[in-house]
Amino acid sequence: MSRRRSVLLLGSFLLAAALGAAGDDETVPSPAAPDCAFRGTVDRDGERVRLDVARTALLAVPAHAAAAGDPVRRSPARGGGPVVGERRPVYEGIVDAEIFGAMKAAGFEPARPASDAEFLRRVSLDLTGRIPDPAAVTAFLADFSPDKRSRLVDQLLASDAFVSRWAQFFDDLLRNTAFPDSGTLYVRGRNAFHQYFVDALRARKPYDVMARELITGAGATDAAGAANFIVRNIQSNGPIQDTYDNLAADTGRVFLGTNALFCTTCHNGRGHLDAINLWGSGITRQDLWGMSAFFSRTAARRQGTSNADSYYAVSDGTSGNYSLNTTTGNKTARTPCPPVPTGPCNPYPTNPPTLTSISPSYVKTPANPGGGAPGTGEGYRAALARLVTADPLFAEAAVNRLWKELFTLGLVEPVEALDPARLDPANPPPGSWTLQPTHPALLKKLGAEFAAHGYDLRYLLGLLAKSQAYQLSSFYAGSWSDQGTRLFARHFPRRLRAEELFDALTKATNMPASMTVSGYTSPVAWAAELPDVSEPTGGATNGAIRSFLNNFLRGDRDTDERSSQFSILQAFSLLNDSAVVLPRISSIPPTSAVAKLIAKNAAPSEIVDTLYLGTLSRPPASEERAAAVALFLNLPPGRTKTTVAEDLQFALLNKVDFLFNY
Amino acid sequence: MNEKRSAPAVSPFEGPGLSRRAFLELSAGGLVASWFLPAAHTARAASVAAVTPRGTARNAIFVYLPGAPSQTDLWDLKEGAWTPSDFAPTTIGAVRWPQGLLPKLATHLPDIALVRSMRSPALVHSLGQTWVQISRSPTGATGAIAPNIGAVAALELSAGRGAGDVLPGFLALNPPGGLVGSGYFPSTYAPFGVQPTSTGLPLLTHKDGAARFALRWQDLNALDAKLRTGQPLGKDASDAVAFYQQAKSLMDHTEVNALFAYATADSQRYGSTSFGNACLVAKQVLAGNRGARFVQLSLGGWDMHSNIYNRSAGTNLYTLAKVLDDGLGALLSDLKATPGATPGRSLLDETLVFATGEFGRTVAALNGQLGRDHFFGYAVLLAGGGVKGGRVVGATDATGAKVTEAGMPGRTELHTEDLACTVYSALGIDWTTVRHDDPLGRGFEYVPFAKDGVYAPIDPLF
Repeated sequence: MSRRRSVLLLGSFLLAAALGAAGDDETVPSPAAPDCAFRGTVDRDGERVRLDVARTALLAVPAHAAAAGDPVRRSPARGGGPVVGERRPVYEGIVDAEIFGAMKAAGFEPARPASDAEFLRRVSLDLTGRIPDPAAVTAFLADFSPDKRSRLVDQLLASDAFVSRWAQFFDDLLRNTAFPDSGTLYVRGRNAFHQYFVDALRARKPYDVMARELITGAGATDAAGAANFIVRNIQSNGPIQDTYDNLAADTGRVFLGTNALFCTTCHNGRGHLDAINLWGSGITRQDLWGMSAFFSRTAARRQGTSNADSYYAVSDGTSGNYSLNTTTGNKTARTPCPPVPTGPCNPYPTNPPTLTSISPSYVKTPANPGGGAPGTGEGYRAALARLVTADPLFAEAAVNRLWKELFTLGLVEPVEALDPARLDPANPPPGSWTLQPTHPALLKKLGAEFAAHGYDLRYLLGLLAKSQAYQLSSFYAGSWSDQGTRLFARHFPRRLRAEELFDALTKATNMPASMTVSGYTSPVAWAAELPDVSEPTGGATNGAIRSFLNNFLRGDRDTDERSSQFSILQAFSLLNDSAVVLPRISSIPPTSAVAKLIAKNAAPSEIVDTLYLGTLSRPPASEERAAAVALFLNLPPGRTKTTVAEDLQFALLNKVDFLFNY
Repeated sequence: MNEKRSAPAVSPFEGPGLSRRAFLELSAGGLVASWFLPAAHTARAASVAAVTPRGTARNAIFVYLPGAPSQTDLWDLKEGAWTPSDFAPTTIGAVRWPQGLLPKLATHLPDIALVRSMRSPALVHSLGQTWVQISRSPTGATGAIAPNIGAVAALELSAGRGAGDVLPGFLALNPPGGLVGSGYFPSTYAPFGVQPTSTGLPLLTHKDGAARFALRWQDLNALDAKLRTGQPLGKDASDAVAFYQQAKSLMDHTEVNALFAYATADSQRYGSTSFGNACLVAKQVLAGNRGARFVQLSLGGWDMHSNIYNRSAGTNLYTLAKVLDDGLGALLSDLKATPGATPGRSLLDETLVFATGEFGRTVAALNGQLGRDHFFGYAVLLAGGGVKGGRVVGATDATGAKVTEAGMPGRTELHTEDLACTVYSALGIDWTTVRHDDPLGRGFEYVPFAKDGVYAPIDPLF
């Protein structure tokens, strides 16, 4: 008998024992949504996996699922004989239908499902930026309920750590930093901006409401946090139109996922974007000015005199438009056409000379061909907020970003290079242009789903995290080819973000940090809670933490983007940092994980199990356990139980499966 | 001759505009296709027409000047009503030189060559900065996977590495934001970024001692063996493992720290600045001959849209030119005075030094804010590694607005791709190489179109 069948048999006995004699088929419980499809080989060691198999394969099988010819003949729940063949999983739901459908059509095998431990660690990091508590790991692995993964997702979405992690997401997205090259927020503005995101996430504020509040934000930026969006785009060394242009372009980037508008702040798309962005290549500078004009009644005035006490007052007037009267600054001249044409009036050939300013006009996109403008009496920015949030691109761009946070790669990459002319499968682009998304129908459906559910971030993230596509393993048994990448046929590992890594380090070793932040009255313990990549500040310890975080490339939220690239310096940090890393592996601080084990005189096996659970968020596999326990035996001179424990903690913190979210 | 680009007629004003992050998001690279493919192996095609690289340089130093220095005030000096008198324009050999701005470099003019016919195709900082580091349009097909030219050099020169070569082949000192890495090449060729400090490499030693570290390293590799061999979790994870190996290699040779540490007196000679310290460490590292062969040094801050001649303005030409002059001037002096690897040659003879920004600045009169804005025309400076000093290649008109002579037959202007060909040729690298190990399966040219002769080494320099 095959090993798998014998395993299933074993499981069937376990289940039969657990349920007692199953009566009629109708009483066999079937879960609402099969969140644990099983296929692929059992290639991992240990009891843990056998239990997984037993639970997933059995509990999800309704008694009479088998149709004629279906290889599943009998429900194991009935305590019957061997199961013939394997159950074909059912891929339901928006995500799974599209992802597995495309894989099937391509004949590409998906990776096996992630094990419980893999899933728990991954989803904890993805949704909360933290590794799970050891107790939570143990409980989860011992839990036999069929819906435990869905319930876990719900718990994580409801947690406080969810708020911190996603506030940081918004800090990154909106480039929240106190002192960039241009668009200074100052400490007060930056902190208020961060607090705005925290409050919005705590209150479960719909994302479209957030977008409206950011676009229309007004007031004192040290209290009205959303108004910092305006200030962040202030352009120094130029006329006010440079700032309006920045705002238009940043609105495009943040809310519509397209950077093409940046290019058109200086020139028409044509002649520049022709091979890059089909939609953008048809956008003129004047179209961009139409977007900029929505901001042309907004003013931002600095208040205060020092870096510590400054902020801005943002307000709107009731008159004015985007004037064509600049010849200096950071962009090419903006002037009306001459009265007597002497040639093409580049870049706006058909303008009459009487056109001396531009009124607000929303860019035309294929999904939104009418464009748009403020209604009678409607405030300019309020109109833009209305038009942006009504644009289908708004939901799709958001969904694509959220997808990337969980799936490592977006359905469209790069996530800020959306081409509105290449997204709709019902209207494919002409010529040799291809549809951008790996799964165009999926992006459209997810956008619609997000909108239909009130732009609820937790809902959308939950939808993604509960899908089987998200729950595929990172390990792939067959031979991989690049085709699999576009099909999301496995999960793609990524290095932990700087803040995630630091927080995992402090959590694993039970040595929390206490970090001071400019303008905060109390320190923060989690790097995920830092409002800015220039923090923490003040003193040597904070400096060492800042250095550590910067070595892991958290970027500057200005011109240097966050990166998950590894480097020699990062290896040095993890191996040798005597301020951040080495004190935490030590047995000397009494609260460290190692110290506590030594203090209770734990046996080597307990030390190994505890350190694995605390650091890698899983029990050791049996050969790992044997190898690690062996380190404690036959100690050579110079090694003691204590030093081995410290060395083990050190090694685990440098393991690939600690440094990577897989 | 097919000249693919010509300078557009539009008057160039350009601004900070597109940040690097924004730019990168625009590039048409699409998905990172190399996600789970095996590491690149050396598969190359012979060039169509056989070329002979000069091989006059053993090392290269890339003095990278992001922000775009004003060529009209520096390497292609044009004098007019705008020129401050304290620039002290002086004729030295074939060249009019701003003696007041760059006195130390003035003494090196017999070793320096200038190329004045350079034109950039773009005026956006992030686009241009990536372009000069990868020697192709970042929006082109291979733009997203292209390695830094330093990584190409490191890969090509890796065959010559001996037992003592423990430093990575490619170093980036005083690394800039937007430093381009190894692209699709294995991480072995990624730039080793170091911010010079007087004590040398940060975090090089393990405070709990070498013996303890040895045990820890052994435990780590034993327990993590499964994930550290092959690529079970893909390229990013295996790159991390490779970086660990490089780190360990450096830790096994802590004597290399002496190449990175420096004395205050030396730092002062180089101007006591981050850039100066980077120049100093570059010299030490190359003289030390422990495997580093391509060094990128960065000095940014040149984007002077306003108050360019105002000594009391934050960053102005006087202050930044002094930093450059002190650092590069001392570097050229020291390279010249240091023996090279081959007897009879100096380290300068063996090292091609080239200095470039991503484009130039507007010429003639200043703009409305007393600064200079972005401009397609620019100039580059070279020295050493076979380059003949005291000469100028190419020329611009009286105000510097147009190129009058490209300096090479059949050309109307020169591009950063020609500079890359020059660097590769000097290092003995076939600049027309096409590799067939790229994840996009399109072929990766060291310099696009070089095999078709569109770009070539700037021979008049030699």
